[in-house]
Amino acid sequence: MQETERQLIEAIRAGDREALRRLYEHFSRYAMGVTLRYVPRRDDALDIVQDSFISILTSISTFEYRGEGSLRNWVTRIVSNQAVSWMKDHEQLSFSELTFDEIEDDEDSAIEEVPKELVNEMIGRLPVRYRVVVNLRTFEELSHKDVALKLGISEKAAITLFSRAKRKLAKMINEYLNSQGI
Amino acid sequence: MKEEEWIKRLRDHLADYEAPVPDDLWERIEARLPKELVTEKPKARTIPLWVRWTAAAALVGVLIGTTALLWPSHEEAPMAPMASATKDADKIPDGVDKIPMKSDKTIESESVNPAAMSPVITKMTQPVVAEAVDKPQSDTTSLYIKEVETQVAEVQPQQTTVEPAPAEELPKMEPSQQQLIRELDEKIAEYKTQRSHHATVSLYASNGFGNLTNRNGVLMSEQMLANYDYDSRMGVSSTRSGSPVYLANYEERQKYHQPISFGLTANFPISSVLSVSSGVVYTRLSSDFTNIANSFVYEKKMTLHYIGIPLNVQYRVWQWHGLNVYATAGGQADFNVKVRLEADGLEQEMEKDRVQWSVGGALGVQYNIIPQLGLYAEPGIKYYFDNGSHIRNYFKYRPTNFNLQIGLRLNMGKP
Repeated sequence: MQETERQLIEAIRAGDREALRRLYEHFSRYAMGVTLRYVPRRDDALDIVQDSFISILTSISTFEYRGEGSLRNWVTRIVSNQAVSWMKDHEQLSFSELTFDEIEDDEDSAIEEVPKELVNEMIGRLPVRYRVVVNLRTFEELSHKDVALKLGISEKAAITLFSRAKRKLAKMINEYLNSQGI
Repeated sequence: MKEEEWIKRLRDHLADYEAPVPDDLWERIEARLPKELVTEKPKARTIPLWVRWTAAAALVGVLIGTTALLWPSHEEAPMAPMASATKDADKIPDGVDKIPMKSDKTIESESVNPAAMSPVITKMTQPVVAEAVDKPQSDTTSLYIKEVETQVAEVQPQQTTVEPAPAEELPKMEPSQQQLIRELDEKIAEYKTQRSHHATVSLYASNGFGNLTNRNGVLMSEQMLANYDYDSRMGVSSTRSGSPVYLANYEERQKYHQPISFGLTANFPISSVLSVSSGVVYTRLSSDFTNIANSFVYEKKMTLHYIGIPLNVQYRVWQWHGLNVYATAGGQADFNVKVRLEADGLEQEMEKDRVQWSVGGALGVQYNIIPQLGLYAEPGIKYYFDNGSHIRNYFKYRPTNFNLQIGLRLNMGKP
């Protein structure tokens, strides 16, 4: 039976250094999947995962267990923060010269029909500004207001960027589905 | 597809997505980990009450000790005998009659022969001379005082040989002598008045009143309402009915702790009742944010550190013995020198806040424990202008803020 998050945390708190490795093994591939949505280049993503786990393991004492899934959420946020920080340093993550347009309702796209790996890769292929907003809004479950606060932009800008990212991703998914004859 | 629905489907689809990592990644991570890892949750650091009281007592002790050192003793204070001399001088005929004078001639020529004066008088005159010369003077009295100073200096070695004559043998003082002493008294009184408006240095702590706690749902923006096609779905117009539409299962909690400030200011008199003050003020603002989306709890702690420069004008309303009541008003510019955002125990990057401008006024009461040291309290009101930044803090939610400043005021140059 797989070790629960509570058992894992209790083992770490009890001083079991081997439990740190188990935590890494439990979440490292998941963390890599999250990172690739922000930073698609594998080498860069590996650096981010490595730095994230160093942060996770050195600050594990600050983690507060709030039920199963809370450790996973915490790991996700640290990886996400590390990735956004890397993007700010290495990519042209600028939010100036943003024009606002009317938000149109998009057509339904059968996301579930597209392989997970491919959807993950499609998100990674989005322009940098769309990529960061769609990740924070969708996978970090931040409100538009919090996305705006985190990136230092207006709420209107966050909504506009998310809407464009969603439209572009839907287009990529539809193109794939069409190519597959689905 | 509607936004929330699309988000949920995308998130669910990739919820358990994993990508391979190289086998040696753990070794690389482990190599960079410190040998001793802190895995226990740190206990909250609490400072015992006795430590706080001891620290406060030590601070007061240091201030009082410093003041005592700066406060000249009677033996060293040349002004002390002068004060009694000033009183005595009001009764010139009686008091001065006892002063031994060797020759009336020297008095008539408006020049004093110090050798003819008693040691008491010599000692008494010296400080007046010194202080009067410090200030530029143009009247005849100051010229006269300078002359006395020179002559006193010349005859100092002889002072010990001069024996005071018996009181009954003293000659009566001439009117010109009386006039001279009156002029000296006036000079002393004028000097003392000027000295009473001295510069002060204040050390204080200040805080606003009460923490702010908000707990609210998150409103759907107009764009989101349009995106959801809310009106046609619900059959009502949210914009026409004016009823707000909240996001389901989403809640925000904010707690803005009261601002705490510590300042060091200097106050300079510009008239007998007006003075200006400026200095440096450190202000700390901290806030806790909790976002709850379904069962997802996201906690953030934000601490902002500001260094401010105040400029205030102070008007003395009333003064009685050691008690002083005054009104003060002015402005302050606070510069955000450091910002710390901690999400779930991990520090995150965050841009600094813009300059925070504020204006305020206060009514102050000061009580001088000793002439050099006063204790004061200033209840006041401050208004913080919106600096246009995205950073949410206490000042944004409560721009008008009552505060209480308590401090110690060191009176510089007080005799």
